[in-house]
Amino acid sequence: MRKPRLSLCLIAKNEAANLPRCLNSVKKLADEIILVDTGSTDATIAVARAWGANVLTEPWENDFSKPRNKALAQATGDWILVLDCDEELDPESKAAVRTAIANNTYEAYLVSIVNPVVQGAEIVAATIRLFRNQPCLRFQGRIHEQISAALINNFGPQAIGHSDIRIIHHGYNPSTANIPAKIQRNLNILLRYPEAEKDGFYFYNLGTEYLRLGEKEKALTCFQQSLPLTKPTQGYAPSLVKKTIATLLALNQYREAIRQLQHYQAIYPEFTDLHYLEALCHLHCGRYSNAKACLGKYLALPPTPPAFPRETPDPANDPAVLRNRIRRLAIRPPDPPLSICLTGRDEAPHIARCLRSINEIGREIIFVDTGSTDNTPVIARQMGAKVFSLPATVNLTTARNYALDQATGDWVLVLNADEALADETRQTLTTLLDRPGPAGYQLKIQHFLAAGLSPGDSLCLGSCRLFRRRSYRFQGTVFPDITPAIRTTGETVLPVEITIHRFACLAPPEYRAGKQEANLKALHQAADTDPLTRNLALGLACYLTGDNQGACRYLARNMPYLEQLLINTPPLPAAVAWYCQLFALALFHTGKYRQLMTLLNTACPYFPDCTGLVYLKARVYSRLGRHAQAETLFRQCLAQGDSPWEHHLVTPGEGTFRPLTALAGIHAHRNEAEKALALLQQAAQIPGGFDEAVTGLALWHAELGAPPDQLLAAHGWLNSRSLSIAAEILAKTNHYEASLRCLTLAGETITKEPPPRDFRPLVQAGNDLLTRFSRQAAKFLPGNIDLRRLLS
Amino acid sequence: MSEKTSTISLCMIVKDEAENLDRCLASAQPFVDEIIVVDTGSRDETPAIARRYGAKVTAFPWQEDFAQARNAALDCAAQDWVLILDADEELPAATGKMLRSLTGTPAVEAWQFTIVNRLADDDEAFVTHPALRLFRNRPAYRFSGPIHEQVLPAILQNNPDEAVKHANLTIIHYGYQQDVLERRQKPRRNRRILEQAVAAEPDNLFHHYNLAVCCYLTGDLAKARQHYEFAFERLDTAKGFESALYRDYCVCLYEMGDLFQARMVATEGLIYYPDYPELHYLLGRIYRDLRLKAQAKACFENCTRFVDATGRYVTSAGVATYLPLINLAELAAEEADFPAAVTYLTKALTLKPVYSLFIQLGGWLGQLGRQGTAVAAYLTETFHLDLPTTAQLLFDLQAPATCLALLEPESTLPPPFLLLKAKCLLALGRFAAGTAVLAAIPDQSPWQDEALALQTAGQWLQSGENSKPGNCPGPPGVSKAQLLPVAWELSRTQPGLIDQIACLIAGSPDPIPGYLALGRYALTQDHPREAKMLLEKIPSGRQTTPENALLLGAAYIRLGAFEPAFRRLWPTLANDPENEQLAVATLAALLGQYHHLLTQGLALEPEQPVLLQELNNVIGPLNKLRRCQEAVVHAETPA
Repeated sequence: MRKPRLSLCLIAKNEAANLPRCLNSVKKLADEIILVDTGSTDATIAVARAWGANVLTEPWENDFSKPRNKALAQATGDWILVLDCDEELDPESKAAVRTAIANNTYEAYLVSIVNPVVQGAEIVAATIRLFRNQPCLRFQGRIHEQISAALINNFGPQAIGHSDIRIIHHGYNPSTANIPAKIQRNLNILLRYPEAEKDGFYFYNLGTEYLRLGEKEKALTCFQQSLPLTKPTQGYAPSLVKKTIATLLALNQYREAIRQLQHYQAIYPEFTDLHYLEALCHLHCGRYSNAKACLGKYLALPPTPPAFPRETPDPANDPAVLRNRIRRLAIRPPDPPLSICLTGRDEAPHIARCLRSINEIGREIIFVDTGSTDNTPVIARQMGAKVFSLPATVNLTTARNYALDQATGDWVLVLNADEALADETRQTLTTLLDRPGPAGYQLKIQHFLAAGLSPGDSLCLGSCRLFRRRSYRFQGTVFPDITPAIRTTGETVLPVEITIHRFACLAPPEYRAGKQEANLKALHQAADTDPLTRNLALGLACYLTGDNQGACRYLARNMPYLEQLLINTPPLPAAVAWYCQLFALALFHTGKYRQLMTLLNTACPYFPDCTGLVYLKARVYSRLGRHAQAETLFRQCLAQGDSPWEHHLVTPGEGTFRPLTALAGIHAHRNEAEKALALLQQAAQIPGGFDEAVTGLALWHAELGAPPDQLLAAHGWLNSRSLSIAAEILAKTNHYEASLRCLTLAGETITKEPPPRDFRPLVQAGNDLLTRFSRQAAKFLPGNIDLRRLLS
Repeated sequence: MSEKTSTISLCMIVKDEAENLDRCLASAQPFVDEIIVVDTGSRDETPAIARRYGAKVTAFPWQEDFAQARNAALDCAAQDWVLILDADEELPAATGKMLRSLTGTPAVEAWQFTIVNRLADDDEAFVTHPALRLFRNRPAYRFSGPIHEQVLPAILQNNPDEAVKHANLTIIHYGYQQDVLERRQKPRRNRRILEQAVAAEPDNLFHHYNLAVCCYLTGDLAKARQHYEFAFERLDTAKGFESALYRDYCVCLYEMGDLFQARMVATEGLIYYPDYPELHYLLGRIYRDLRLKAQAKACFENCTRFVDATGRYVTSAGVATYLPLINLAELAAEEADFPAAVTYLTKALTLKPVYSLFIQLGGWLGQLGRQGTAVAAYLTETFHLDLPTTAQLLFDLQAPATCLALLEPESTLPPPFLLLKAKCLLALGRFAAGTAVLAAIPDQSPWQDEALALQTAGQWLQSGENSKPGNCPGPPGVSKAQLLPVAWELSRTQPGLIDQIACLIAGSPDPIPGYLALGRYALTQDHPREAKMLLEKIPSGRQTTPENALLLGAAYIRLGAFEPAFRRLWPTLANDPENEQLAVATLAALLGQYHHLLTQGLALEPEQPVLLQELNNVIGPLNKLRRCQEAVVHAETPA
């Protein structure tokens, strides 16, 4: 029998670089090569001729089928193999091609197009590229041109065989291919399609191009137009479903994604990847138990068959690894008794974090939105919350009570949308609910003051946020509190070590400024509140956003009434203690020591358990050079430990690492280096105290008798973080040379540290050093404005 | 189609072009049927010259509007086609001969050519751009725009895109030969006109674009960026200058140090012009600066693919040929892949021989273990270099023995080679032989000064350590400035004699002023390693003048040792805080070190967003400082 002849048909434009790889892959296999060039300006035609191709040219008319069919018309072989120039036939597949064309059963074969992505992962799709040379078989479609329609019309679907032929596609490697150009070319074609030719496949292709351009909303619209026009049996339908889900996921539309997934899981029971995708949706929402269940289902089922789009998942998201990682997070009891009540306005940067922190343990999440203008309510709904809307005019107390009205569980947890339950306390919280006990719990609210989220840079206070759902309602306007309502029924509220983090500082600056303005305005307008409470609320709001001046301004207004309050109203309400501590902090940070000392002398005797006040007093003495008094007070702080957060505002470390570091400074000044170093060592071992101890070490390196980096090394503290912190404090104290040395060492050290590496401290220190140095240098060069502008 | 051969009118507008007009008309006259010259007020013999070539000369009063003048010429044209030339251009015969076949092509209304801008002293183009210069003579085809007048919009208004084709032929433009002053004056004058044009038509993107180019040329990058951005943001339909806008805007952003924005512009440009080599090149440079090496390599490789497309875009010389190769070579060398570096650089040097790059090549060959004769053999065989160049290269590569071996067989050497030979001998310590060779250099020749300086140095070194600087043996009339280059070359090849050479320069037994002078000279010659070595011989503590610190700091900075540079500069600056040069250098050291730390991190994690963002912030000031620093070093150069 005569050996069947094979024609390779290609179309090309500016593919000189790819062509040799492609043509080399069919050497000794293809009996002829036909290439239709659509306007190359590079050496494509010359390269093709050098490989012995029959080259034709055809002007580009925004239609891929035309040049493809021109090539087919020229072919003289018995079979036709179609490749793109950025593809190659897998060297292992030559034999499979020979076997396929020697067989008489089929008119055409499905082959696998393999897209290598990163690090060995690949995405595989099946398509028809090998078929008999017959005039009735011609490509259709201006883009994503297909031969399948012609095949099925003429010979029926049974004429298409499966094969092991693999074609490797190199076009998606972003470092070598001009992908944007391809997308633009494809879009140009699609957008010129005549209205009558727009079918489900058209919208699918258009959506795919938008997806590649990163225009997810447009892509989703296209996919949603395509879905009703597409029958589940159509070849591209599973890909369409998968891309729709991926787009919904990328747009954080988890609720919609899960709805679609559950629908298509029933239609395509073999398409097990859909369970994996559902797991991802739950994971993003913090529903770990659900995610675990989906992963279990996925791992128990046989792998998705080749007819569906497959991809080897990124090893970081490997289903088995993922299941293992969330094993301990999946703690949801069968019928959780906890309702979660959220309130907020314009909290888009935060609300997802909040929901992720509690979705696992709540039976329901009630979100009362008070007039958001961003997509906060959309995010909340997509992540599983029941959303209720109230006008922007209502205050926090009203909003919380409205949420309580909707709750159905035995217990309620109340959160603001910019807060999150600390991960490590989730388990503690659930176990609490099964036990008999008080009607309410006071939780620790930790306000982070800077984006570094260092526990040392935060302020903690107590607030009753977890309670049994009875008829209790919040009271007060500027400080909503439910404790009085619980206590009047004779029930108790007890503190419990459960932490809620508040992340307001993480929002972008312009966002924060807007919120602060609205917040202050609302506080000013709270007409029914007494002025003293209002001033306290305004002062607190200012302090938490770093505005110490503003805090002083509001808090100073209450000062004339302080003594009266202290004398006349024992036992003192928490608000008075908060007032004294807050005002003291604000005065300290603005350097108003005289005023601060007056305040401390008045207040300290009334709050003997408040370490924070003692600590501030000691710091003032220290600043004034009265080291003996300072030392006594710092030692008193250490003896007391941090204040109880349930009664006071607590700056973490005020009774531990802060006085330790301060005492080290005093010893350093007395040239008692050993004592100083021992104290710093002690401070560094306390959680949150490391940065403070490093700062002290760098600050007093001269007194401690060695360069900062050597001191760090001697304590075994040498890492990129400590070096960066040292560089920053050294820059702030004008030790530029030492600062640069530490920065350089930090840069060298970080390269030796294992990932994940945090470059932020390094960059922050570098930036600080540069800014301060150039400011210093420019100070003496009054004429040289350029130099000052150089770094602005 | 049996159409009779079509005829051509050459249309020009001129003013005071007596110097150029001959060249232009002589080149074009054989290929056209009529010459129309519109004179806008010449005071020289321009009209007379034009008449000599049979031109119809019309006087037309200048009204600050190029389009008007051009159209006046078109109104006089009587032939089928119009050819546009400027007086400072030349029609190459190869292009002229093809004109008839162009005009005979059916369905084409207009042809574009590649304008090759040529520098006077260089035979090569430094930038090329496409321009429409030949079109059918139809009343509808008229120029518009008071400056950078265009006829293309009028043609496209009446025809599909396909009616305008690129002929792939060149026209030579000599305009850039004008002296530097005028090159700066012209954009300034144009800027005034364009600012008026923008004021009159604030929505005309072409005006904004041209104004941006003017601002860029006058060094006002911030203003240029504004106008580029204005045009860039509003581009919608084809205007004919988009590809150039992408290139020019990207160049401006790159020079300002905003690599992110520059990358965005280049990437977007490549969507529409995937075969524009210069955009690939610019993107490659951006990626290189961002330390994304794989992407940079891919871009540079793309540059050379589309060499055939260069004529269709505004293109700087070399971006599709040797420049990407040099970049690929440097990238390979950074990764210590010297075989690849040598291959790339060899390819680049065959396309464009650059002396300093031959030195670089020699250095890399050295890394591969090839020295002296092996290097010489490689250079002569690969590049067919002549004897003088090879000899000089070998000497500069510090291979005086090989250089000498090359020169010695030659029986009669012209004076420059005698000098080189003498230098080799002196470098090898053969002082007597060296001074003997110098004797053969004729008096009163242009090489005599250098010969005298060499002789002085040679005798000084020969006399050994007993000599006293007071009785410098050389003939009178050798100045220190003449001695310095010679002494520097000898000190490089004879490190053992440095102290003695320094004394010679110092003219005293104290070598320290000599170290300073030699160190500074080494720095101006771009040899920071040697400069550092010389300057470090000056004991610290003693004579740590701001000048010493500044030079040593500059040497360290050039060597990339920013932290040591800072350590030496900062204490000096602290004592002398009003010293502007010191402040600039110290800041450069600090910024340089920070930049180094960031790139070191990026080498580890190439797309680390925090580092990438910070790098983008640092590069702008760094570029500005580098410019300041260069000014400092040049100010230091002895007159």
